[in-house]
Amino acid sequence: MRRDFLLPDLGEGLQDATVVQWHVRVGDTVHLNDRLVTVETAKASVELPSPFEGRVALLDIGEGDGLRVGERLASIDTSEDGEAAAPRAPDAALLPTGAPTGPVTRQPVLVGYGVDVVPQRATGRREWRRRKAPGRRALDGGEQGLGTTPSVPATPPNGFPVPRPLAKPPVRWLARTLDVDLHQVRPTGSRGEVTAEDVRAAAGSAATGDAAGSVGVARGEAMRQDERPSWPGGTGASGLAGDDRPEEIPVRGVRARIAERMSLSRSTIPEASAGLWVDCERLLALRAALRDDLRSGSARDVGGAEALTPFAILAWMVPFALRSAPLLNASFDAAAKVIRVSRAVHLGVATGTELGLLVPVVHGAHALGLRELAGELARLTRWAREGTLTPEQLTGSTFTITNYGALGLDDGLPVVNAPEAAILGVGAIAPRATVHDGELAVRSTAKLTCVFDHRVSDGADAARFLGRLKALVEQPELLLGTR
Amino acid sequence: MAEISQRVGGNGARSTEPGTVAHWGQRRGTLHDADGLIAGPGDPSAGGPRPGDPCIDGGTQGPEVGAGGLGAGTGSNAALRGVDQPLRVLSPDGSPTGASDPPYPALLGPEQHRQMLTDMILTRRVDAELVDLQRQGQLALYASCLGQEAAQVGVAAAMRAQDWLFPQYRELGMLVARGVDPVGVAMMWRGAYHGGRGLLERHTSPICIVVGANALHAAGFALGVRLDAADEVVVASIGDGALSEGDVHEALNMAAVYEVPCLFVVQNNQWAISVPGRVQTKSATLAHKAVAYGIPGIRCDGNDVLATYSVASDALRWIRAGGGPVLLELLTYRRGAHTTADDPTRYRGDAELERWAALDPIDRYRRHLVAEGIWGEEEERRAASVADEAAAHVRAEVCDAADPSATGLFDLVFTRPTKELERQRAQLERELARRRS
Amino acid sequence: MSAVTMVAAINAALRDAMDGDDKVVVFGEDVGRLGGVFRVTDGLSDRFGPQRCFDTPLAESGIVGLAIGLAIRGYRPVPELQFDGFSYPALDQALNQLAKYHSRSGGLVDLPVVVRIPSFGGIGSPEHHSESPETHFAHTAGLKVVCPSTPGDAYSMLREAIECPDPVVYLEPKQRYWTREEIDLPLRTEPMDQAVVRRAGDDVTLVAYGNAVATAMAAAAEAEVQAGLAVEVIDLRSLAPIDVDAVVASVEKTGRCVVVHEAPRTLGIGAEVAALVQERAFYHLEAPVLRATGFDTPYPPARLERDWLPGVDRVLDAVQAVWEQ
Repeated sequence: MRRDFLLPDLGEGLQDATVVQWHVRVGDTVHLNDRLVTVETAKASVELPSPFEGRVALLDIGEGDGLRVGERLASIDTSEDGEAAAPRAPDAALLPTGAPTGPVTRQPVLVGYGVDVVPQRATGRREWRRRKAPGRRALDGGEQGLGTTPSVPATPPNGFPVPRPLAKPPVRWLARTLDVDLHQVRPTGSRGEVTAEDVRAAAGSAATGDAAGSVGVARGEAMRQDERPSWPGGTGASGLAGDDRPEEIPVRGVRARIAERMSLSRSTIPEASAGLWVDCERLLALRAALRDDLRSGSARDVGGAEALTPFAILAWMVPFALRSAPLLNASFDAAAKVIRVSRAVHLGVATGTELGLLVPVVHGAHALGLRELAGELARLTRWAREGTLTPEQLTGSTFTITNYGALGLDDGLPVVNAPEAAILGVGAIAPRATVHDGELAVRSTAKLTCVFDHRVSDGADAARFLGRLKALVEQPELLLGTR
Repeated sequence: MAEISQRVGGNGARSTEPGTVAHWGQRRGTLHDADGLIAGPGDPSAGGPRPGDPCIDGGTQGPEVGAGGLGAGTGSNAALRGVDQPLRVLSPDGSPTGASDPPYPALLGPEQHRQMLTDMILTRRVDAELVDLQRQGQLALYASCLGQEAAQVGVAAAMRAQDWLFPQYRELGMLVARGVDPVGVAMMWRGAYHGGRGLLERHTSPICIVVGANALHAAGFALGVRLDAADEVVVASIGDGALSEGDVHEALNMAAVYEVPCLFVVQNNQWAISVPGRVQTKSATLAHKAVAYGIPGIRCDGNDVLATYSVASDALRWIRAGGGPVLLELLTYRRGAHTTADDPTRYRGDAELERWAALDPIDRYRRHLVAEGIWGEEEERRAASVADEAAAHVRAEVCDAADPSATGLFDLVFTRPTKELERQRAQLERELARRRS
Repeated sequence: MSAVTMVAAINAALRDAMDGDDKVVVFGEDVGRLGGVFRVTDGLSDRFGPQRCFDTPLAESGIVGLAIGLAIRGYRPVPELQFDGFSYPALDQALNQLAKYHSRSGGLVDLPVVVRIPSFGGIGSPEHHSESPETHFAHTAGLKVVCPSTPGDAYSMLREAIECPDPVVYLEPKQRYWTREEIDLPLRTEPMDQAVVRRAGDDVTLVAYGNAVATAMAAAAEAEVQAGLAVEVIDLRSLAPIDVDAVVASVEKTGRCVVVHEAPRTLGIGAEVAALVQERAFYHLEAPVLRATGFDTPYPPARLERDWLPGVDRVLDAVQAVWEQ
């Protein structure tokens, strides 16, 4: 049996050695620990003892030649009497590492076996339940690159990485459970995070999957998730075959209250509506600029940036526009034969929740700064969806906005929130073919619809209000002259 | 602490209780002989302060250093011996020096002589095998004791089986002389276990890598021996470098204050890796340090196994008799590298090595025993055979020895693994299973 | 440009610092004539004389205590503790004295001491030669703790540490001592208290330092090959203070974080990083912060260290767990 003697780790801190002198020749008989060879490292000369007994079969390295740790120095034929000498030494016995198999893997340091020199690798390929498409390459390459890799600053120059949806861990868990992609959910949390209600709402609208369901929410006709009709067998016609009896849903709680308010509104208020299209390009640009500033500027406020939605900015403009039409911020008292015009703007915001439509109120909206209003809006919306609003937060509005655009709707005809005198509906902001500066262009636009109590005001009021709001949305700098 | 003070420092009023120091005092009559091998200030045969007098509670009377003080450094200094010339029984050529200090250990019979020389030969043989095994990639590292065989075997031979040894990491000779299987030592250097295996069974603490830490353990263990009034002596084995460590100072001090049965054996092998003794201390000798601790200090030729045995035996008898700790400096030389990873040519020359090779402890002892007619060719052959067998045994057991399971690490942290450790063990088991598959 | 080992880089940093300021002194066990057991101080004693680079007795507590006294006197001592495990005898001087003297002096006395400690495992050594001592120091107010992972950083961070008026514990990943990097010395890299991104990605953040950076890089490469993941690797470099902004910025991008270190898991640097991430990037977290670390056992004997150390597999386990969460 022929055994190889590999240059072991000599513990001198170097990776190679030079053969100074052989003490044996091919054909010589050697005994265990006989001096085979003197090698020299840069640190010292070392005599290497033979690990085997037998006849020298090969001497690989000439005197004066160098070799690296792990390379073969000699082979010794142990077939005659070597087995007894090293009975338990298999071929790999003399690796510097004592590693059971494979090539040399240690590089000597001054104390101990030395360090691994082979690249660190994983044990085989593993099963990944989630993978990404290959080809997306990191900035730098592989495991050996560490020493020469130029480092890059940990914080990118723009100060903020690619936005990711924010959410608490339970919300992420809920989204995963309901198969909702958080990127597709409109966040309403005060820090711009997606709330559990946002996820449920997204899951709900995805479940019903048709415009009727969404309109229902916009019109305050939302149902609790567990009160929605469920059709066995899915949405196909076959699902209807077995049982065509209608499912009965009791009307109670918030649902009953909504029904009552809607009936009151429609039965007592002679309403009229007016609408116009607004160009939202400037609004979106303004919002983007403000968000960037909040994210990276000195007053860094990531949550505030998230809360700063186009709808929040538009809501903030509403009190300014209402100055052009105070009668829209009023109420009609039939018994007293009085129109009460409110000096303050307490802004109701129609919000779809699992319980149904709720209208939390931003009190004193006319006096709030933009970020204050946006933050308040986000908080109230979140609390509405979490069902934690107080009665004060649900009463006292003087004017209401409803954002059915968030549901993807271009237009709607909202119901006035009695006893108020008007409501503003905001359609989806989306790129549309439009005439801009006399040219056909694709621009982000939205339809604003105002429904008003014709007992209190006339079309001209609505026109002034909508006209002013349109002017502010399209030329936000006008706000600088409002005060 | 109060409780310990009561027990250890209790005064003679409770002298009849077992476990008090006075109990030992009653056995003082067994002390060696009138020549006073250790004519220390605490010599029970003298009238001065005695070991066992109240010491912890502040009523202590330290040993009196002779008027000559450190500078005198002569035999007239009651606390110190051998500081001018290390005590020696055999000249380098193997002939008896004829000095009466120490006296020839006449109690050694021929068989004991043969055993000691065989142990020294075996030590050297196994030591060389371990260096070779490291050169062949079978050990991570090894710290050779080449040249220190007499110091190590001499001390071990003076110890009884029930005595305890607290070694560092260069004590192969002490360990094999105490009957420890060198495979258990080799496996530590292989990186299979920490501390070695098979040591505690031979009343030997696991190998201690942190220099000097073992001295405190020895002192504490010896305090326990004293509290138990047991008939055991503890030997702390340290080196010249260790005496620079704070731990060793604390150990010597507390051992002296509590008068514990502990022998501090310092193998002064001249080098702490690359740092020579003169950089470690300005003391004239290491034995001198004993003066400040108030304990006897003895300096002995550590390459003279008979002197080592003789002095160590007397010191152990003294300690057993309640004399308190002793500091024994054994002058020897580390002829090998600090470890196989060290390159001593960077800091010392050949002349020094040759000078010490000429003082080889095995050659000296062999010449003496041959001259005495105790050792001949037959004994030499037998010793070589025993040594070769031991070396072959080590090689056979160590070469490519299977590694212990890594998951066993979790069993060694506490007496019982915690839940978190069990979780981590399960994690490692999963990892290992995947690698196997 | 030439291929410089970390040992050579540290040696050059010491030499250049001693050239630049004659108050810089180097001492420790075997650092003089021998040039250190790892040859890190090779040639310094010859070049600067035994007054400025000298061997000490075996006394780790003494070495650090001596450095304190020298620093009070106006020197800039750079003591070496020979191995991580031998830093523990010096903990009283390091934790009670070095860390607190500036405070105790009412801010009047600076302690520009750099304690160099060859650290961590992976070199097949005996007991006490492979410890990860960082937590002991990082947990002690008043000590800065830094750990380079490349030769260039080793040079630059040591120069900066020596210039720093505060005590710095400088941990040298001895497993990386002989890795080479093409650099020109002298060299200044990022400030030593900043983390750097060694590899950019937006799927998972791997936080590492010392030896573990190379492991993290290898794991990141594997994750890309196997699953197409872009794993970002952050080299902390400074363990006290931790550059939390850098970690948070990365986690805000990835939402997933794994900390890698050799030190035992419990109360390691990973615990601190995980706490900081959940404090500062809570809403961004897609998965719990996981740790790929050594186990809560004493560092194992050499034959077992490959099983014990956090290797690519253990890191990938954690990466996969946070990615598939």
